[in-house]
Amino acid sequence: MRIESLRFTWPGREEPALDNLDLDVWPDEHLALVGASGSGKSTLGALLLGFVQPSAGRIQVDGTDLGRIDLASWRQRVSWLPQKPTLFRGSIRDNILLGFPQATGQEMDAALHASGAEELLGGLPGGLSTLLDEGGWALSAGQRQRLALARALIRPADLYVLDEPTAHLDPELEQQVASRIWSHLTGRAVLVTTHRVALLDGADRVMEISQGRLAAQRGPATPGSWPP
Amino acid sequence: MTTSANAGHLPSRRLVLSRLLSRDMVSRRKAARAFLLALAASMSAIGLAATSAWLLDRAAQHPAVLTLTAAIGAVQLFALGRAGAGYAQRLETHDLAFGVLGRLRVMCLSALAPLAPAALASHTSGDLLERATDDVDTLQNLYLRAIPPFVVAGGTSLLSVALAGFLVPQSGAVLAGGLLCAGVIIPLLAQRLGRDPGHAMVQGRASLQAATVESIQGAPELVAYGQADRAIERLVELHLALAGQARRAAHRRGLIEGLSSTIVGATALGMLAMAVPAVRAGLLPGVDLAVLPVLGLAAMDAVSGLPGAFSHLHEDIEAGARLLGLESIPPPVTDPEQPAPAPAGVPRLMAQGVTLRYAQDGPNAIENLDIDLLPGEILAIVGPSGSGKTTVANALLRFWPITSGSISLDGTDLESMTGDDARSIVGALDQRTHLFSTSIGDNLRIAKPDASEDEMWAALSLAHADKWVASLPDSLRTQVGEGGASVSGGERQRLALARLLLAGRTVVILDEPTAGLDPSEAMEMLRDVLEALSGRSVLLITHRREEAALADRVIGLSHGRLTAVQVQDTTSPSFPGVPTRAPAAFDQVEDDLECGSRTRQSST
Repeated sequence: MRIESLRFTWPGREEPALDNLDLDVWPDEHLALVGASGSGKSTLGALLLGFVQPSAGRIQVDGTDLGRIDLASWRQRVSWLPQKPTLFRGSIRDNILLGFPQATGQEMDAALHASGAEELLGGLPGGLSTLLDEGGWALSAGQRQRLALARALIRPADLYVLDEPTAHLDPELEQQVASRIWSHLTGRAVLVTTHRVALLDGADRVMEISQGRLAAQRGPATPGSWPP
Repeated sequence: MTTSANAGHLPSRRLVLSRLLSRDMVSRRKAARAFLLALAASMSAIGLAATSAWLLDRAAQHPAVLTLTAAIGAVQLFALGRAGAGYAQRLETHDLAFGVLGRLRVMCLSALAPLAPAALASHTSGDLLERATDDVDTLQNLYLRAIPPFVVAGGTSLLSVALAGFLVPQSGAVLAGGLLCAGVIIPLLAQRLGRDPGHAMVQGRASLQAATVESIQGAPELVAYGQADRAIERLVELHLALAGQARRAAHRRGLIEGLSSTIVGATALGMLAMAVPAVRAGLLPGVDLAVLPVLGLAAMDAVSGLPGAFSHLHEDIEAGARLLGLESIPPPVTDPEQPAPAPAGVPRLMAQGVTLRYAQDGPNAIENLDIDLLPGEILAIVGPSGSGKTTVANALLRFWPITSGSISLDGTDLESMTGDDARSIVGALDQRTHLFSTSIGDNLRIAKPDASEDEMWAALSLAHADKWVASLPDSLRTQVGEGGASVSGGERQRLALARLLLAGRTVVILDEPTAGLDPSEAMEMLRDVLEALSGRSVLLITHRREEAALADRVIGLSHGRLTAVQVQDTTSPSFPGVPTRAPAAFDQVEDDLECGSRTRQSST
């Protein structure tokens, strides 16, 4: 995937959220984006999923402009975890299978393990059949985040766009989940936005966005630091 | 009113109707005025029909104009009276009805307020929206189309039957029979036939509303996961089911209205049939003949709307039951009858042996917890995800009742204060910050409605959001979108923080206030916030070690239990890490705070 001179301004804003951004993501690359809040990290996710169109510049996938690809078939190749995920009324199982309804039991187990939801389910008497209220009210922010992460990870995709997947987890759990995410997604392209060191450690490349532009770049990661 | 303790229990139909028509809902004075005006309008209509029919008949005989003068005057009087009284009656009934709907909306929202957030968790927002909007609107039918004509029809029926009976007794009897059918029997039948579809429609609308709201909230994910079509199919299904019910209801209504029209026509014909022999027998002057069927038609007109209105009656009662049902949901936390006054100044917050369970048979979310937050102290609670940190906040804010133990502010038990009083002291910034779909300024004024622009800028500056807001073209008037959709996670949290600072609470719970900010930015903001909160007590809930290091004391939480009280090992060698401090050590504490680990500057 290649991003060229990408610019985007949200309606009603004067400052562009992304300004002249260039970025290449390789098919098996684990890329982490960091940057202050409001620097345009989440905007990039909205652009990649085709929710909004670039004001200027372009996003290319395998050499074809994203604007020319059928959006539905493109989205089938992408798995996305938004910063504020929504849980729907229904069982935890249904909520996770939303990502990939035909998933096998093994795939479910793998996603639960990678997202750290496994431990959470152990504490619920109903397990996967536990019914959630609208928005998953009875769960803590970290618990909701893990379920939403499981939903994103169960989906087989070419590109994973994960927006702050561990923001609400405690450091110990975060460390675990971060390393599990990377190993679960070995060989897939991952674009993760984060502030957390735990996730940066496993990334092939870390890029910093500041005021909508690429500010700094680090990596590829020092050999030996990842995988362990 | 109801004693039901069941959240889903709806009050009985009779109770609903008596409540909806009770004195505190419907002003008796206004109702009497509306009734008299409606009666005058209806009587004028009947008078107009009868006198004009007579006038036409009589005029056909070419009498001297002088003999018609009285009738012409009467026609004019009735015509003007009908228009005037009709206009005034509409004004009066609509004023009455909309007044009641306004009161019902207020009732609905006042019933909801004490239920938030604990008792509302099991309701979907779509369902609650349906109650506060469509259910209230549905009741228009009751107050405009069902009750007023029903009440007025009684009066007009008596008078028109008396008039017709005076002319030809048999015609009077036919009219009485017709009125009884069209005004009582058919409406009751309509009400009976409308019951099932009415019930199904109210339920169907609520399901559709709930599913719509949820699909819109989760739309980005549904689209991203290719599930949007399935969600739309589900909405279409619900919609079709609702449309099916509406069709069923319309069929029944059509039947009823057809029946009703037939009765009107039959009554007029029947009255004519009874009058013809009377004319033949010389008992009734021929010129009066036309008066009877016209009188019949006018009298029936007063009741002809009733079957339609009554077929909606069940829907109205169902909607009313759902509204009043909100009042019967027991609030999770009740205010005491005689609340204790809220302590002034910065109080000492003590929690002793506090246990809280969300569900009666569920696990303890926190168990036997002791917290002692001294005035001006910063206490951090750390613990793994799901360990009960946020539950501590829920208990301190009186959002959820504690199962056992006690929480006090300067020795005053939290449960002896009203929830509002408690929350005027204890404020929180939590993980689910909500921004309302309005301007930044309006969002800030929720905390302090009379805040000046200077105060707002001061709060924004403390939250490090002033530069950002100033850079926006519309500044404080910038719209944030629904749920703050057009601001980033960090910006949202900063606005919420500014809002909290503006509210001026003396005990502040910061529940992971920096989630979504990058570490350097987070630390900078937290330092500024703690500085801004200097002099107030702060309970900092976090799982970032470096943030907890800013606190005077740290307690650990695991599976709802206190695990450890940590000494600050990073920056505070001078701070003694004692588990709890005795009240006697107050001065010592003050000293400790001065030379402790906090980064705030002493502002006193």
